[in-house]
Amino acid sequence: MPMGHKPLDPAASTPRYQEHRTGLAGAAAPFRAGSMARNRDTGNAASPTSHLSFDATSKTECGISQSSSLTAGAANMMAHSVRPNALTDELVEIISGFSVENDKSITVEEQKDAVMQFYSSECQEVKLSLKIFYRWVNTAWELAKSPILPLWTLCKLQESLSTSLYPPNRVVVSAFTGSKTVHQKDARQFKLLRDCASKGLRNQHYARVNQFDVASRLDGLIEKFRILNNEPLADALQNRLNELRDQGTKSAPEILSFFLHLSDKPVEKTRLADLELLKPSVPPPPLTWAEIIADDPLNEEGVWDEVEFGTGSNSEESVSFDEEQSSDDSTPPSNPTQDARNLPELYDASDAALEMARNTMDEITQAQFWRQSGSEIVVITELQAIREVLLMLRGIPSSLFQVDKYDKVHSLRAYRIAQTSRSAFHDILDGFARTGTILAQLRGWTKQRYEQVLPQACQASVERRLWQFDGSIAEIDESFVTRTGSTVIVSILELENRVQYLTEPLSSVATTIQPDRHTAGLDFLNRLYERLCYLTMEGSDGTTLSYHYALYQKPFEVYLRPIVRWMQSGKLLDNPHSPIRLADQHCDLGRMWSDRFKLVPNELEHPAIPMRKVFIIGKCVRMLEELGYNNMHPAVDFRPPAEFSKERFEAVINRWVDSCAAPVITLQEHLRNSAHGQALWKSLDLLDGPYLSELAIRSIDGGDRYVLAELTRIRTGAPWLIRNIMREHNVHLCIYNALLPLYRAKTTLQRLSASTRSDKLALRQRLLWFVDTLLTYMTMDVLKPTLLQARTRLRQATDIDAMATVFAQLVTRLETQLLLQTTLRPITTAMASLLDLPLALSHVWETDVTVDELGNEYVRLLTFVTHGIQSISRDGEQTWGLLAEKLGWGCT
Amino acid sequence: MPAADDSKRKAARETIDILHEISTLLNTHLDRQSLSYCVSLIENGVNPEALANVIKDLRQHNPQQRSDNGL
Repeated sequence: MPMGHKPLDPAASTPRYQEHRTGLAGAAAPFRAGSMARNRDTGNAASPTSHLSFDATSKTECGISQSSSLTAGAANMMAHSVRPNALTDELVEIISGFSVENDKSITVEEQKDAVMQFYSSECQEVKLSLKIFYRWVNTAWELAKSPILPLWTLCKLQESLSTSLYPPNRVVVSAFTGSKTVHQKDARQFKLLRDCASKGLRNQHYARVNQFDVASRLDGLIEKFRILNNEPLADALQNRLNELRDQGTKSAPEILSFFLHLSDKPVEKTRLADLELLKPSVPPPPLTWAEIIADDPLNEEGVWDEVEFGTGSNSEESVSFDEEQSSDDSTPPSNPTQDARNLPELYDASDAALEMARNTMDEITQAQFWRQSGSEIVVITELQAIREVLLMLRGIPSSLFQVDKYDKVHSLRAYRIAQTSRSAFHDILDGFARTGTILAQLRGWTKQRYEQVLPQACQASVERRLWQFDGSIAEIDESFVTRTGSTVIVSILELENRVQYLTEPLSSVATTIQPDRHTAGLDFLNRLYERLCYLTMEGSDGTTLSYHYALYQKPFEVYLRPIVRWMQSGKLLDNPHSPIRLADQHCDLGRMWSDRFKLVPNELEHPAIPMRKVFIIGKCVRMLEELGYNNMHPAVDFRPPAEFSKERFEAVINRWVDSCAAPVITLQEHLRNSAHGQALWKSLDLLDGPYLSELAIRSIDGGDRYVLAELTRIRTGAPWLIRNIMREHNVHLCIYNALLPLYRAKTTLQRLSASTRSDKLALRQRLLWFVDTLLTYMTMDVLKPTLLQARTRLRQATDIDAMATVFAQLVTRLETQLLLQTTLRPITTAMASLLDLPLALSHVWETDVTVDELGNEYVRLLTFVTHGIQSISRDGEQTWGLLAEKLGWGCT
Repeated sequence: MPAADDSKRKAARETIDILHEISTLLNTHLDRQSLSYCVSLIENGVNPEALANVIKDLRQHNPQQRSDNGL
């Protein structure tokens, strides 16, 4: 196609650029001619590929070749950012080829897809041009959806548009015709539009817009305005045109030409005022304080004084009310404040007055039955009676009832209703009065002031129920007041039933807690708990039980709080009545377990709570804190069971306390594994080893001052944790004391020289045997098993209390088995005497006592001891029996 | 850049305002919305005379809509 393209240069001379801007001149026109020819030649068949070799390198220099007409256009468009006008018939042809003749309706999407597919292999520049193109299509699409151009008239649009030489119109047409969503209703219309479109393209006989022509026409119009003495209009138009020119809009000439085509006798019809209507109305500037103050300065006297409200008395019997009621409505309200004198000037209250019929006033006056004073009984309607009862039940003063200072409600005899007899009515009222009394007492109870949290929680719990009750009563009241359309039966007997139903749970609560006796706090809780247990036993219906249970839960939770705090952190609240109290705050750490806190059993405490366990847990927490473990255990919340039954509730409590017992376990772990714990075992190990024996031996010669100090050190030097277990028992000392005489005797005997007389020797032997037997007994039969048992028990102990008990038991056992008990004094004295014999023997040559005498003494004492032990062993320790047996051998 | 976009939008709005005023002065019976659509069409290549004829035709066909839509 020999189109003589000169390479287009963006900086080229303006006219050419303009031509391109309008899109008609230059590249487009020759295209069209050629393409039209092509159209005729080739019909609808599109063979686009041959035209599409795009020369990527040349942008401004369009490839001047037959094949590049399309691409040249695209390139131009890109270069100058012109509209998709530059896409030529080529594109159009391609698209049209899809649609009309084949009677297929294709959607915009399909068209787009087709084109996109087609161009997908091409480079970005072409795609860009397509983007712009599609944007245009979408704009046209939007236009199609607008109500301004209803679709059914679009055929006209298509016709006209397609007669112009803009190929994209064709796409617009196809787009409009193709989509079903645009116009679903009329298939015939579609066909029509399509036909228009296909026709339209062949006819292109609109001239392009000549901007000079446009300008001259506009000038002519302005002249006309001036000639016809419409200077302002002319000026307005001229100004606007100038502004438009300054804006530099691209298609200004086209738009103006469009206006000129559309304009409808502006010379005659245009009014300048219309221009003003265009402007959106500016809202009046908001009122500012400055303006208000300028208008009405607030510096009058008395404007800023305090206003006293409510000085008028509100009592029903007040005279002022009557006055107001009877006076004309149009007088302004009496206003005690000073600035009232300004008001009548500013506004007249009669403006606000409503017209009211005279008899309405009378009706109202009559309806206020309580005003009717007199000795006779006033007749009131049943509705009035009902509403008075409802007032009373809600604790509001009412005219039919009177509440005395003990919160007892009395019904007044001054009224009756027409339908029933006086006595019947009064009976009904008395019934209500009894109910009212219960409620009034409950209300009075909830209003008392308590300092502690627990009573307050109890009150709050009851108060909530009272509010719920009030709400129900208010609903009943409301049903009488509002006219909802459904009929409401006005019956005081029916009200009686309903009220009874509503108050039943509350009266049950009232009997439980006996508000006239001012119980709150623990007493309240306990009574309620008893009631709950009773109700479950009785098997009463679920609602009463659940009502009471709901009432119980929150105060119970408040009650648990100090317990939780104790178990969590070992801290106590400052409550002198709590069962867990601080005994000796500054006691030594070694006695912390036993002495710092004390548990005072309190009958009022909840029976289900295992106070001892709780006590232990708290103490463990404190001890762990001293050991350096801090806040290791997360809090476990108490979750009450959903339904109440005594067993379940108590089981839940126990489970909960057990679940909080982690500190106890931690402490035991610590005792088993840590250095503290090791100290305990070590000190126990000292007991049955040779340590004590050595000490005893040492002390014989060296005096026991050192040894005693050593033994005390074992005890006091132990870590404080261990001291808490061992407490005041000094096991070591105890055993030492038992062993010492034996070792002393033994040493003495051993030091007796062998070169003595045979009878002395014999006695020595016997004494030695005795001492050895005792020693063996102590170490083998007593210490070893006892200590073993103690060790096992200590390891198994669950808490420090248990361990301390084991220790204490160890000591007692040792004392018992070592015959150190005071009850066995005769035997122990005899044994002591026996053990003195060796010393006597060693000094026999100094004294008068002969060996024989000593020998006799020995036999006597031994027999006594043996028999003694034998006798006690029958009822007592097994080990005594062993000892007795052994000693028995010596008696023979 | 948002500032550039803002100024562009502002300029566009001003242009439409001016065009609206001109069209009112020329008594074209176009409301602002229609005007902006037509401007858009024209900017995208629709022939102004063609469009004007179409609109005249539409108005002829829908005289009742005239008052509603300001066509």
